[in-house]
Amino acid sequence: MKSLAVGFLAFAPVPAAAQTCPCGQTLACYQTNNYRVGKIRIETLFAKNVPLDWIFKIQELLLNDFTQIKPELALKEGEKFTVGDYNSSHLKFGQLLDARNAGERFKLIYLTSSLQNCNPAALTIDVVYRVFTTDGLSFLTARSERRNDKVSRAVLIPIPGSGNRKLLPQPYVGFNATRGLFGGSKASFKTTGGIINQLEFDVSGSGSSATADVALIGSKEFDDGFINYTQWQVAYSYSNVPGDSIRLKEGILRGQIFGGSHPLGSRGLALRFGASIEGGHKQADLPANTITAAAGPADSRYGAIKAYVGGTMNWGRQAWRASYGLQLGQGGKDVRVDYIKHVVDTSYSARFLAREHKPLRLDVSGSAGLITSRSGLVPIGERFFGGNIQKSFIQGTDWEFNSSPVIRSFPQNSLNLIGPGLPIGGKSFFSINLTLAQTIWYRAAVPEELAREPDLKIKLGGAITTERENAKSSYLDLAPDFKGLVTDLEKLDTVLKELNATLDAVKSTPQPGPVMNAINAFVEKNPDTNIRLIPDALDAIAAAHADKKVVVDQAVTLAQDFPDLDIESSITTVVKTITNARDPFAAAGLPTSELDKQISPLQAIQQDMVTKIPLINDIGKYDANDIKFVADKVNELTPILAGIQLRLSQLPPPQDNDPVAVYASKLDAVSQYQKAAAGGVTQVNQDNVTVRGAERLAVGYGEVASAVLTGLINSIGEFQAPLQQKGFSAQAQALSDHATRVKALQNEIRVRLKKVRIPEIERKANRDVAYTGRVLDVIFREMNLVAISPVAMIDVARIGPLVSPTYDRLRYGLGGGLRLSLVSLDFDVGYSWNPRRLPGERHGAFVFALSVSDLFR
Amino acid sequence: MACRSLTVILAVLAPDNKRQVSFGLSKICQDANTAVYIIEFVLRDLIGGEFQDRVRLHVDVGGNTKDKDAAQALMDRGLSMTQLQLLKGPITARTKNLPAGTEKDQKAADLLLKVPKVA
Repeated sequence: MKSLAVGFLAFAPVPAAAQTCPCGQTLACYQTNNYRVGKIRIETLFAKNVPLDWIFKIQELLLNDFTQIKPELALKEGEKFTVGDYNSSHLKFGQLLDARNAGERFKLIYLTSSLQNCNPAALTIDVVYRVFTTDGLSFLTARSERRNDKVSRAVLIPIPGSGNRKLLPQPYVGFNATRGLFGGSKASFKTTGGIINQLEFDVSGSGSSATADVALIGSKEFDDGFINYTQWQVAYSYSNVPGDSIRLKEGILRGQIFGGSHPLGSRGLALRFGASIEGGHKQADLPANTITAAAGPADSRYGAIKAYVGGTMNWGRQAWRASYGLQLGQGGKDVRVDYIKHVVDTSYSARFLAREHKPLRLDVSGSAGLITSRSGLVPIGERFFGGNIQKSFIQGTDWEFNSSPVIRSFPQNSLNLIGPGLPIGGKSFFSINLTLAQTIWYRAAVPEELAREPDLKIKLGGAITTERENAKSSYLDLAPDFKGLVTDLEKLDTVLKELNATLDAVKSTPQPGPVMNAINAFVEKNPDTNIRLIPDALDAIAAAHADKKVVVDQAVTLAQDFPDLDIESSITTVVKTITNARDPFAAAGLPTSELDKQISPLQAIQQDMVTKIPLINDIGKYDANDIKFVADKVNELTPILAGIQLRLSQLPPPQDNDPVAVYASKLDAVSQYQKAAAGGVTQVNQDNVTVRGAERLAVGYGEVASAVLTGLINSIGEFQAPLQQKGFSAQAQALSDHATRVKALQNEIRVRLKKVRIPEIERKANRDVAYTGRVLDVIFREMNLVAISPVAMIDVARIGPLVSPTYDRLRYGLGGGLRLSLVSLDFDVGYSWNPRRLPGERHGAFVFALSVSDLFR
Repeated sequence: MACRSLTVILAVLAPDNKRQVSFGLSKICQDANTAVYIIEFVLRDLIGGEFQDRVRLHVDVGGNTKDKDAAQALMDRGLSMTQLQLLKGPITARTKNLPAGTEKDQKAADLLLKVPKVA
């Protein structure tokens, strides 16, 4: 059951207002002048910018939700506007947005409400809600390893959790010169629990080809240790695909396991590894005059054992991956190793963001392979056939590991000639591919004015700081005293269970009411505190035992008193309850020694815990000298910030319908940043544990939640023109001078921060938070709902060994095209020419590619 | 400076992803220059694969200037580790036994109001 109602809010009485109502944001005015609500609208992340909004289901969902939400709001279209209804409607809307789904790493909601389209003649005013939510977007960031179909579906329909227990068909069509026009569908059904928790299939066909894959998949993820996740599957794949004059067919059953590590080191290197065992049949239909004796069997059984290892690394907008695979293959009827195949594959991707939302994207990849065989029994289907389609060494996973020569000027499987009349593929190959794409037109995912909103930037910085502190709590087990605290919890568990047993023994015989009341105080819910004393304490210990990340949180509940806040710990309450039980026990002639004997150990455990908790928390504490070193420099900001405040206070307030339209918003921005900066200085002086206040002021978290001082400097810069237009040149100059001094101090604070010794736990938390900052940076500054980019393609490839010198050439592909990007889904259309054609080869090939860019990795 | 109502909500997820503690702050304009702050606390448990609200509490911190300043500072600066421990420890402990759908509980609301006051 979801609780959606909003509690009563006692808003202050609305003061009297002027008789005429200037169309501004003076709420009371509209109420006292009997304005009515015009339209109630929502502006979402996707609202303004989407020519293809039918694609983006989240927009539709939000709007549908809003249709349902509107009747529940206190404000009603056509009815009287009141401040109370306006405010409670805002709160209720925020509550309705705050529903979360499993798997989301974080969620941020930013909601503002405003009044628009004031009509003094008709006495109406519109209410507009602006919503930014990471719903859906954050789901894209949930895992670094995903099945391709899930990713592409998530891009188009980013609904967290939508995949569970639902069949998700994903139809597709494509064109390939060798396959012709083909169509098919991928689908997956996912459930939770069990050894097998996912069924996937992918079928496609055309007049000349057919493919089918079916996989039963199980997986497990690990929070701790080297291994991040493992996946296993049993799968069957069938393929019947032509390649100019040949046709390759295969049917393979495989069992497979692979896994990946948690990110390692400062660059987050993730290792991947796996193995598979495969068996089936491979057939190559060759032209009648093809000599195959030297090539190997064209129609044979197939068996193989594969092992593979690789790594991926991401830093900023760059990503690198590399893989090596070894295959021991059987080419005849006997179970033996007839051939050995080695494959290496690597790629590098970078996005250069010289202008926001217009990235220049570079993708470079290279692959090479070699087959050796003593028996000569290498199935032709196992040789290397090149073309404009990658062939994965590890089928059925999203591990990108190409094992064939990729050259986009050749249709699939068409780079196969090693001599005249020998379209049998090579035993060795290499290929290098380069793709450049420059975005020239876009619609940003997040409205750009929202991305520059001072309120959002400041609050986002606060939210990320919270996340960093939360991340730090995950690493408190690194503290030397952590184990001791766990031991204390175990001791406490023993004492509380003994106490429970004593109470049960007393209860086992009929007791007078006062005694039963005294016993119930230990086990039944206290109406004042909502606590069930011993059961809840044991639950807390069990939770801590199950998850080390909550040990300190639970220890605080159990042992730490906050007398100033009137919060009493569980242990203190247990001791008091024992004391309170003495009189009724004595009156009933019951001994209290069994209860009293627990007081001393309880107090000893509590004392030990409250000593250890701050010591553990202090693992994140900076050196006191370092804190002072930074704070001294930060405090030099105080007079400058006071000067800015003074200048701002001397400026006239913005008028309603001000002739300089941006005066109000620019003044507001400077004012907000000035207040945030002054608050930051206060924070620095109050914090004797960390330098996070100084970091928020001077460094920030990327461009989105940029440094408060950067925001202040920029906002003063943007305020110059409106000030000049209003004739406040002196004030503009004074503020500009202040900004110059702030800039100099910001640099000096940064220099000092760089000299500060950072505790290990802080480093780990920073690494975690850097990911969030990166994701938000992409969302706000790079991600486009729709973008168009010209594409340039250069390929070089070669297969061998060649039996004719004429064919012993590097083959090239030079091409161009256009990329249509929908969020992170890229459709490439183009043509690649073959500039050094050989007899039997085409002029080139059309390129149709569908790929998912790794914006969030 | 015109006051603008706004809400910022950030989720704090339990490591096992079975419990969610949501901490939201809203600045609600009474008028062009007057605002109150609302702290909202939501405890959700994963039941049947879906998160369901167990407790939803909100606290109006509009009456006291000092409280308002603390709430504003909390929005701008974020929560400290001590504040988070208070939120995830004693406050969560005191709300988890409340009946599902609870929206008013003065004792728990009083505790919630103390979060911004902790250094």
